[in-house]
Amino acid sequence: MDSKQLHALIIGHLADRMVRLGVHERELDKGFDLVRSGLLDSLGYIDLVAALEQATGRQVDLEKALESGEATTMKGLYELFS
Amino acid sequence: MPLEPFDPISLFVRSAERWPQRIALEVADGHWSYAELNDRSNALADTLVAAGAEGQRVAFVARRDGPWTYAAILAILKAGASCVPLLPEGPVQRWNTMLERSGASFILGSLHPSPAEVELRAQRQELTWCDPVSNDKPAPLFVPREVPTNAEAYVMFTSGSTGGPKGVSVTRRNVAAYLGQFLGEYRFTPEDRFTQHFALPFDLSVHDLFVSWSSGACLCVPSDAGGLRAATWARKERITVWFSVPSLGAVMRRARTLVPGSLPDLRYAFFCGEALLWELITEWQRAASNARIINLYGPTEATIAITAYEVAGPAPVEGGTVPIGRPFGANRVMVTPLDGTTDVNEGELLLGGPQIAAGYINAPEATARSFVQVPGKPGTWYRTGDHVRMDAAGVLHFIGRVDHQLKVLGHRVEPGEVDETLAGVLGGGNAVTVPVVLNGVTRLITYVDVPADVDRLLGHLRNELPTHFVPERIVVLDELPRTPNGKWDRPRLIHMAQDGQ
Repeated sequence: MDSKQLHALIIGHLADRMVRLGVHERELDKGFDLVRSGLLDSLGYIDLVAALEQATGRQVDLEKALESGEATTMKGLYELFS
Repeated sequence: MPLEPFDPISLFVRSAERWPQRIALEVADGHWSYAELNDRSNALADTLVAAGAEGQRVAFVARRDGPWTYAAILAILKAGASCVPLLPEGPVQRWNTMLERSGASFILGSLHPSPAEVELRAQRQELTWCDPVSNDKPAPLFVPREVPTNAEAYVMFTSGSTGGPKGVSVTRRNVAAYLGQFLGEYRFTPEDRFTQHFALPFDLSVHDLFVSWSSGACLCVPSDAGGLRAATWARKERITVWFSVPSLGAVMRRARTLVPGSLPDLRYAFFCGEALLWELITEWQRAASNARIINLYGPTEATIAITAYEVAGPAPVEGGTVPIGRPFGANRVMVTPLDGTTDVNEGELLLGGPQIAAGYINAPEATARSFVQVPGKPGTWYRTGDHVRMDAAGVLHFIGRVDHQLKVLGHRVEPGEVDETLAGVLGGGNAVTVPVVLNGVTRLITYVDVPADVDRLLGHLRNELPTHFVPERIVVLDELPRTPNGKWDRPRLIHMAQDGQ
């Protein structure tokens, strides 16, 4: 899956949450942190990761990924799944 | 009156005298010893007393990202004042509501105020703003103020079904009763390392701070957002006493970080704030095989926690929720049958004893409804609104609510508060908010019965209420369903929400 497809998948998953918090797609640049921004709480983030795992068929080691501190950013998700 | 032995300040000062060089507080960017925390809070208390705050309510934006807020809490209590912690995420309008409802006339500014706090300060010039004291300033000699027997320790806000948030007034005596009774049940040492997961405007944080500090132990504040790395953090920090909402345990399980043997240092795992599922227990037992696992229960109105259930042995195969147990210490419980039922062992749970709060501030009707006298049973009893069953062994089991109150990630939410906030902008239309459980987590869905700009409604809620009150979705219907006797048909709306309608 290329990063464009991945981006579309993430945006599709986040659509309701973005409306809920008044966040626009243009704000979701590579450095945007989905959890620190408050867009997702921790369970929402795990739901997103689970959805991406299902869509890509790839299982990630979340504990290891979270070590870097970037796994909750858009860039971090691209790196984990593309 | 001299401070009681289990008064939170008595306990802290005793530890500071006994273990001045031990670490009292660890945050992401450093740590403070008991002596440092004592000195910093003395300097701040001195400032507060000089400003005239003794005996007054003092508000502050309760951020957990540095040691300063912890010194502020100690300082307010040392000054003989009462803490009014404000949720750091605001919004500003919510802070204004809480300031007005609490009647706080003093506010302690942050060391590094957020833009929202700067905005609040511009709006509320009539309040007495006290500024934090520079760490370079020598700490004065300061003797914690003695307080009258009915002195208030803090005001914490809970959601109200009508009329917005209610401020619960909890006294120093209530907190002393909790600490005395809790410390009589469980044993901690200066070697212990406690978690500080709870947001400071949530009364379970009072347990974090003062149970840890009463024991000369170290209070460890996690830095990561949302607790995603909680298991890794706890292992690295060699946490020995864990306390959180069960949801955080669920996060760890779903993030696959709660692996067998991963928390070998843990001696205690306490949970409180929402129903604890047996399925979570099994994984905690595997992850923390040396820990005693205890489910605590108690509303803010009964000061932190009032009953406890210690898990012994494996989880029952049928699953379900862990009992809320029995009252500890001198706490008392009573079950009153619900209307139309005669079973004396099932009904609404009433709580009594020395932890029952003084009531809601500036809300005499709500206080009279919830804090009641019971013929033949001395003292004030708090009606919890929780539907429970008491088994033959006297153990309480939580069944549900007698009203519509919900828990969203451990936060108490009255859906009526969301509906009331929307009513003002619906032009005569109605709103009904119901829970929906998505992937095991309770979220909110709101239905409205007038054509409306959903983005605008959500924006209004974001400006007025904390994030956990903002529904996942607002759905516009031509008409809201009603039951045959004319009430909103909530079960049908819940069913629709669960079906994604």
